[in-house]
Amino acid sequence: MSNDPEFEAFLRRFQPLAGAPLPRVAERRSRSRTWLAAALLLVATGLWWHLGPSRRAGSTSIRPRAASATWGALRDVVGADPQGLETTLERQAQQDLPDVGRRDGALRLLARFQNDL
Amino acid sequence: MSSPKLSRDEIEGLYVALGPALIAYGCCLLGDRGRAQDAVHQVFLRLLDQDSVTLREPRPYLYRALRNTALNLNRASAREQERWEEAALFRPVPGLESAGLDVEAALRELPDEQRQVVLMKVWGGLTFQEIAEVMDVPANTAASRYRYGLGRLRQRLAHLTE
Repeated sequence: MSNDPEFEAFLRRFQPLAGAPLPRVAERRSRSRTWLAAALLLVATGLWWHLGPSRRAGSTSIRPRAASATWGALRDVVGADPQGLETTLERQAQQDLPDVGRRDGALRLLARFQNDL
Repeated sequence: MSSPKLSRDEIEGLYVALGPALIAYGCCLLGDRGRAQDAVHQVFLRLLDQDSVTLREPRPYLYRALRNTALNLNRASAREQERWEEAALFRPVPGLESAGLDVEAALRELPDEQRQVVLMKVWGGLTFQEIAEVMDVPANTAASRYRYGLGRLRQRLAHLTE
């Protein structure tokens, strides 16, 4: 056995062992989703613990905080473009409150929202 | 000429066809079979995670990707390549079990660069040009490493082939 092809053929009689099958993509994605859900739960629990009313006596609840932030953002929009807000409110009123059909309806809702805070 | 896009099934088919030889090459780079298999899995899972894979020449690409992955793993673990552990490299051939062990032992005794070339050429089916691209050396260097490596193997295994 002097030439290369013959010796190579001899070597190729010994074939490498197969490896373990590849992990299934679906399993890996499912594992990723589980981790994501666990992480979200952890973040939500942390937020609840940090902002919840039971944490500190006399603290405000998370709901007014969120509403207050929303109202603040709304005031910023009004300051920036009062005409734009009015147009939007009117269009929304016509769409959501057809029986009222006037922007006064939406404005009344807005006023009630403010009073609720 | 445009390169064909590989589907998920085709990639998994490549793993079945080329995985064993890639793992053998990984053993040569990483020192043990478990780490080699992990590295090969990493290479294929990266391919499977891509939405669309276009490989002009899958074989040299996979060897090069495995080599880079192995180098990164060795760097990350701050471990120099150690000698191969005594894990089996080849499927036992009925009647030639001890010959298989001799071939493995002879491969282990080769200098690392010659062993890599021999593995890629004999069991991986790469051309010298493709081996040269994987190892970042001229094709002539890859060919001469192969000649030296094969010569040593032939000498060492003469008792099996005469």
